[in-house]
Amino acid sequence: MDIQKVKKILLMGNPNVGKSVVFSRLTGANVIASNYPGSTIEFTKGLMRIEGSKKELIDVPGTYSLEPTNTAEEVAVEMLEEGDLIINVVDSTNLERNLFLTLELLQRDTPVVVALNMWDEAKHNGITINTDELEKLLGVPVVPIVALTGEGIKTLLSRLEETHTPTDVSQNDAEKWIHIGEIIKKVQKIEHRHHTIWEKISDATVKPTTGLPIGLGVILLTFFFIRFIGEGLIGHVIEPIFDLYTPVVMEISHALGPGIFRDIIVGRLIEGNIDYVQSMGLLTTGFFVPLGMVLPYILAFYFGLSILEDTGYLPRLSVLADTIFHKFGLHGCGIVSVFLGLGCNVPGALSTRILETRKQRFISATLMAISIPCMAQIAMIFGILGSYGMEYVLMVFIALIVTYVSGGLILNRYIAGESPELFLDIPPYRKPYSKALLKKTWMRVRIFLTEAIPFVFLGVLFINILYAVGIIDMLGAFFSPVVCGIWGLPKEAAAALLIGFLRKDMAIGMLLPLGMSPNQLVIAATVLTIYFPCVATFAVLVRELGIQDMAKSILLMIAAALIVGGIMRLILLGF
Amino acid sequence: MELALTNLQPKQKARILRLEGGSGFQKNIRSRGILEGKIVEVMTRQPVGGPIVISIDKRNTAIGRGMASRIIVTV
Repeated sequence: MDIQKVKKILLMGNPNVGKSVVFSRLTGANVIASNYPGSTIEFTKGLMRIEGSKKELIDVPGTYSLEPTNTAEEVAVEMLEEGDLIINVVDSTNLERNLFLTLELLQRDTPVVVALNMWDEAKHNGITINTDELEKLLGVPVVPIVALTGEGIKTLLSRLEETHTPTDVSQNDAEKWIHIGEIIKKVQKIEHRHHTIWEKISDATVKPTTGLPIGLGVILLTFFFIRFIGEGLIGHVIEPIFDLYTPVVMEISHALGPGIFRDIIVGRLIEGNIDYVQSMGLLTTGFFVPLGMVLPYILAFYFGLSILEDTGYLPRLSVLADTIFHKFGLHGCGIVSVFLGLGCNVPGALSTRILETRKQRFISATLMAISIPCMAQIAMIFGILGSYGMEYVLMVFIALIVTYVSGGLILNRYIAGESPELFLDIPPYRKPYSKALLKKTWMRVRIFLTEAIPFVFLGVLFINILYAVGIIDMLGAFFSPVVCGIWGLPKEAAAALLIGFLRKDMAIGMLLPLGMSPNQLVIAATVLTIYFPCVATFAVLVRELGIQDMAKSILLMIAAALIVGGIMRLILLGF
Repeated sequence: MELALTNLQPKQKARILRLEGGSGFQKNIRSRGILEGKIVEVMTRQPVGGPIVISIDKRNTAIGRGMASRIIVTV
C-alpha cells in the first residue's frame, strides 16, 4: 500500500498489552489527550513521522472483540471506521486469546500490521513464536517488538507499507477459534518454567488474607507519598518563589493605590500585607491557590496514580473491592472512578464508561460527584483545616465515606436496572516505563494547568464584582434559611457555595476569612463537596448520563447535602 | 465428574467442558481465553460471594460467581 496516502493510524489491541508504551515510543512530546486522560478509557492522539510525512496516531481504548460489551469498547469500534491503517498490538505472552481480535480486524477492509509486543517477556517465560509462519498464516506483516526498550520499533515502521487490504476471510466465532487453535499449534512452543517471584507476589496481592492488608498498606503509602512530595515541593520550591514574588506585587499594589482596580488585581491587604489565600486578587490568590497550594499535590497524585496503573496494581484492588462495591450495585471496577475522581472528578466521571449498564454508570457517577473531593479540594482542606488539627480533616473524610457507603446501599435498592458481575483480566506485574509514566503525568498536570488557572481567575473576578455590586449580600440573605438554619454556618458562606461551582479549591479558601469555628469549617467543607459538582464535571456528567438522569442525579446531590450537612450540624454544633 | 467452576477450591485444577448461556455471554467469556478444552486452576475465592480468580495459560482473570457457575468443568 502507499504509505504516503495514510493519514490516520490506529493502535488497537486487547487491554493490558502495552499499547500506551508503544504509543509513547512512536509519538513525540506533543501528545493530545482527547476528552481527558484517565486510565484505559479515553483515547490519546499524537503525531508520528514516517518517511518525512506526518501521520496522526490514535491510541484506541483496549478491546477484546469488535462486539462491544461497554461504552469504552463501543468507542473503540466506532474509531475503527476512521483509520487508514491499523497497528494491532498483540501480547506475545498471551498469543492465543489476542488472536481473536486480530482475526476480527482482518475481516474488515482496513490494512493491518501485527506487532508482537513483550517479545522478551515471552522468551523469558519459555514461549517461542515462529513469526515467519504466523505471517504466512495471517497474510499480513508480523513484527516482534519490545516497546519498553524500543527493540523492533524501527522494523515495525519500515514494514507498515508492506501491508494491504486483507482478503476476506469470513468466519463465524466458532470457526475463528478453531482457526486460532490451528495457528497456535503451528507457530507456538511452550517450555514449562517455574513460578517466578513476581507470580508469587501477584498471588499474595489478590488473596484476601494477605491482599487486604497489602491493599490498605498501598493506599496509605500512596497517601503519605503524595503528602511528602506535595509538602516538600511547597516548602522547598513554591514558597521561596512566592517570597521573591511578594515585593513585586507590593510594588504593583502601591502603584495602583486603593480602589476597585487594586481589589481585583492585587486584592485586599490584610493588616497591610498580602495574604495569598484571603486577599482575593488576580495576582495574589488567583496564582497562589492553583500554583502554590494545589499544583504540588496534583503532580504527586498523578505520578503515584500512574505508577499504580502501569505496574498493574489497580485491577487487583478492583478484585479485592468487588465484594463491597457489589453492595452498591457496582462491581470492583467502581473503585477506578473513586481513584480517578480523587485526582479530578472529570476523568472520574469518564471512567464510569468501563461499567456495563446504565444503572451502574448512574450510581457510580452520582456517588463520585457527591462524595469524592478532587485533589485540588483535598489540598485546600488540608491547607485550611489542617492548621486546626488533623482530627478535623479526618472528620470531613469520615463524613464523606459514610455518605458514599450509605448512598450506595440506598441507590442500589431504588435504582432499577442490572448490576453485572466483575469480569476482569489481572495482568502480570510489570515494570513501568519511565517515559510513558512521565508523559502520562505531564498530560494530566497540563490539563489541570490549562483549566484551573483560567477558572480561578474567572472566580476571583466574579467574586470581586459580586461583592462590589452587593449581590453577595442578597444571595446570603436568600440562602440563609439553608446555610444558617440547617447547616449552622454564617450567611456569607453562600458566596463560597456559588464560587464552588467554578472551582471548589478556591471556594474552600473563601471560607477562611469568615471567622468560623473548626467544627463549622468541617461542615462547610463537607457540604461544598456534596452539594453540586464543579462546572467542568457538570458538563461531562450531562454528556455521560443524559439530561434526564443528570436531573435525577442533581436532586440526589442537593438532598444529600441537606441531609448530611444537617446531621453534621446536629452532631458538631447542636441546635 | 462434571461440575460448575464455582465448586472448585483454590489450587484445584479442571478441564473446561462447556459454557452454558446465551451467545453473547459465550463470546464474551471466550474472548478472554476461557475456552472449551483449557485447563483452569482456581487461584483464590474472595469471601462473602465475591469473585473467583482463575488462571488459564498462566493468565489470571477475576470472574463473578454467577458467571463462573455457568462454566462447566471436569476434574
